[in-house]
Amino acid sequence: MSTGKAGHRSDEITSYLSETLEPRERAAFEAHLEECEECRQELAAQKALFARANEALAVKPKRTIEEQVARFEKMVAAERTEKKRWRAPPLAIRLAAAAAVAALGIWEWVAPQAGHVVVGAPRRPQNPAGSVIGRCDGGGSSDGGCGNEVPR
Amino acid sequence: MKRFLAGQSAACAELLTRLRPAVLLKLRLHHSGLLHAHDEILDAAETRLLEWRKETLEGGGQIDLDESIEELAWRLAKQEARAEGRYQERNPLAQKSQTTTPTKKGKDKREAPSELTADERVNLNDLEGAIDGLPEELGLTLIAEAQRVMAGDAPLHEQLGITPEAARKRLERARKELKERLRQRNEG
Repeated sequence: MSTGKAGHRSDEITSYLSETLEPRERAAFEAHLEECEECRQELAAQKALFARANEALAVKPKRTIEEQVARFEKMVAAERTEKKRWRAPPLAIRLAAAAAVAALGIWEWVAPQAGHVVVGAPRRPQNPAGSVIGRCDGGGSSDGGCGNEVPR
Repeated sequence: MKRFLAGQSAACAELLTRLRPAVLLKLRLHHSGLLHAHDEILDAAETRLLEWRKETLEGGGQIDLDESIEELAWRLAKQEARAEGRYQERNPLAQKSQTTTPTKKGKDKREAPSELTADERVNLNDLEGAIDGLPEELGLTLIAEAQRVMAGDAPLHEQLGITPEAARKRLERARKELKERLRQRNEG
């Protein structure tokens, strides 16, 4: 144990003030304090020194940590609101868009069956091959055939 | 840091708790003529941190997830001090070495409290010179303890991010070192 100039057991006093002594050491030191005036003075001097150090170093913050966290929570809440606004349009618009898509799908399916021309639907051939084969009317070909010439 | 970026309040509180003494230490060690404005710089640095979070999420932020709290604190403090147009490096050696020669205070006008007796009175310049000459880890510990006692900030171990027992041991080391440096100054 160091014995400083200002008093014996100087380091032990520092440990005592920093609460690092084991319970048994602490009890022994407190017993010693009762009978040692020099240590009591040194204890008072060290207390004063560390109090002065606290005064010299401390800064009174403008806002407490709790206040800063509250600001943080507001910022996060604002961000979330902003994201929500961008990502999810109002319910009415979403429903209208869904209804429009459904209606278009139904129209595409129903209209051809009813004989309507559907814009964008694949154009059907006006003279489908299946309807011509074996049904020759004699026109349109020099050999009087159907245009389906057979090699000679 | 990742939890902070995700918007968790607890992570924000933890980060600010650890950032605060680090900012104050950096300001103290590296700036002169700013001591009266440490609260403003601290506030600006903390606000900047909150803003940086959003910028980082949007892809333009400058928070490095691997950066230590101390490095981040110094960058924030320096940036804010420069933004205020009051940046002035106090002692270039202080950045390079943890055990610098103690420097005298610049414009600090604070005086020793009058309630101290002559025996208890410690020369303020000696005290602050000894504090500034401590290794940064120990200086940080004294600042965190001062913030706890005087400003009601979080317990020492929370500010330092270590266990309560380790915090008490570190405080003890810091105080012993401070005492020794004061003794040397008085003898020298």
